[in-house]
Amino acid sequence: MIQLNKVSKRYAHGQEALLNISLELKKGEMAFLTGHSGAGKSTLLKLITMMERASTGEVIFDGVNVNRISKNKIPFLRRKIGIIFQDPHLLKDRSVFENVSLPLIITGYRYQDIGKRVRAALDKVGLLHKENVMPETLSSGEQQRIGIARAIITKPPLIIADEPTGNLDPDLSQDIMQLFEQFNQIGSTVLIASHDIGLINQLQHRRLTLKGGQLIRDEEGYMV
Amino acid sequence: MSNKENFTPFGTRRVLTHLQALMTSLGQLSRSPWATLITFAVIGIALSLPMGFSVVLKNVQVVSGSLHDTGQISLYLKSNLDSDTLNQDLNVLRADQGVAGVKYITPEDGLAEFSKQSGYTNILKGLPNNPIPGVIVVQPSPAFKFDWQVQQLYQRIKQLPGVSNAQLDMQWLQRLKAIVAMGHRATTLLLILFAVAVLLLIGNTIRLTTQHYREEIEIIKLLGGTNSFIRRPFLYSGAIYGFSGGIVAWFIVDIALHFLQNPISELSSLYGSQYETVGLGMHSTLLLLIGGTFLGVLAAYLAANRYIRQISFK
Repeated sequence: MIQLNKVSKRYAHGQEALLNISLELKKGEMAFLTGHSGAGKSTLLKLITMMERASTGEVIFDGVNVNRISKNKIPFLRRKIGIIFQDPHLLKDRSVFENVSLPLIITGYRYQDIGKRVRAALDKVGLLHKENVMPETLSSGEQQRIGIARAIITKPPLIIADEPTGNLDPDLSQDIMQLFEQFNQIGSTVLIASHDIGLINQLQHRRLTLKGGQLIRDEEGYMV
Repeated sequence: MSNKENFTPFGTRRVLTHLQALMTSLGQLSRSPWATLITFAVIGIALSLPMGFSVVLKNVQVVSGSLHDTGQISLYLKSNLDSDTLNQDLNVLRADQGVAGVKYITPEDGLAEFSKQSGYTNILKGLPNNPIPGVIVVQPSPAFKFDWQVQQLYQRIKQLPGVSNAQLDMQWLQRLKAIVAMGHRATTLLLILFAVAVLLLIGNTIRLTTQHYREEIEIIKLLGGTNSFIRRPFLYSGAIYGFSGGIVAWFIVDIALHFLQNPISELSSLYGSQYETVGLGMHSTLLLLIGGTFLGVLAAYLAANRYIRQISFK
């Protein structure tokens, strides 16, 4: 699903964010990306989601070298990725329903089926009864789950999450991680960046550790 | 993973995406109704100036067209002209294709009118003989469309045996025509100037709107929205601004014309012509609305395109 070959990223002001990274994430795999802040987790995710381009090396997603594709192809490739952030980035002036249905409208999904799909996605994150509410009236945990519902509504083959539990208390964090495990069981490939070692330790998944822009550990099915 | 059956057929989808973009645009405009209405008004005023000027010009043209366009030629006859030559000349003139009317003023009539107008009745009475020559006033055919045709007639009838001097009285008409031509130039200039103003105005409004929706644009980009998907509602907004501005301009010109109706008909009755004011007309109205809409879309495209391309989620 994702393959990185000797990828480095140097920002314009000379800072080396990633150094010579090679890794592969197979279809249907679930992995955590850990490391201290500034280790390069976010940069790595930005390369995969095409928000940034690698300075050297290849980033291959779903068989396409995303370093080489033209800018107007990026939107179509991005529709295959469900992206989740620490801040869910919901549209404040739209209802929960409108927020969650946005990816379907962008892809030109059949209008008659949108309601059904939105309700199914909200049901999955346990917020079915909130569809007509404005996001600002929800708690941060609920907002995060709305963001997740929006990311998974198109059933993307790849789910990328950058510190999805950063703002949440431990119980809520565990719920969110269980959600990701469910999506993984349905068939999505999942990559989650998190520095919450305690939480990661409770889950038995592959763990990639970054330090100073380098991949220092790649452990399979690690369990403490 | 994508299931083709879940997607609407392309043609219907296209209509739906446009409808959806239109709804988004209307939603954006209605969220700040006062700002939107003020923008409509400003665009309307800007468009109404050149349109109003062109209507005034059209009316001037109609008035000047209703006046005898071709001017007149005064033929001053030789003194002590015998009646045979005079009649011969008059017959030649009446037979001329280029002559619409001939009026002979005898020296006696001329003297009478001159003394009446000047008030020198006594002095003129004291003169041994009448110094005023006979005059033939020739009205050129209204079929003449060009000045040179009148000039030709003038050159031709100047040669008649009884004529000592001829005067072509066209200067004031030529002046009027020159003024009208200048007015046309000025209207074109105004039109270009105000079209640019409207372009900048709508462009700036759209630019501010895109900035206001920056976060939304970023999120849509992140979710895989194409630039054209993001741009489309802004293009509709531009079109709505331009079209509504055109309608406002139409109303302004119409109201102004009603306001001017009375003084204009009074003025035209002073010139001895019965005359109805001419409005914008079907042609100009369509041009105004289509032109306004086009300007709006163009401005929105120029303003939104660059900005949307630049934005990326960071």
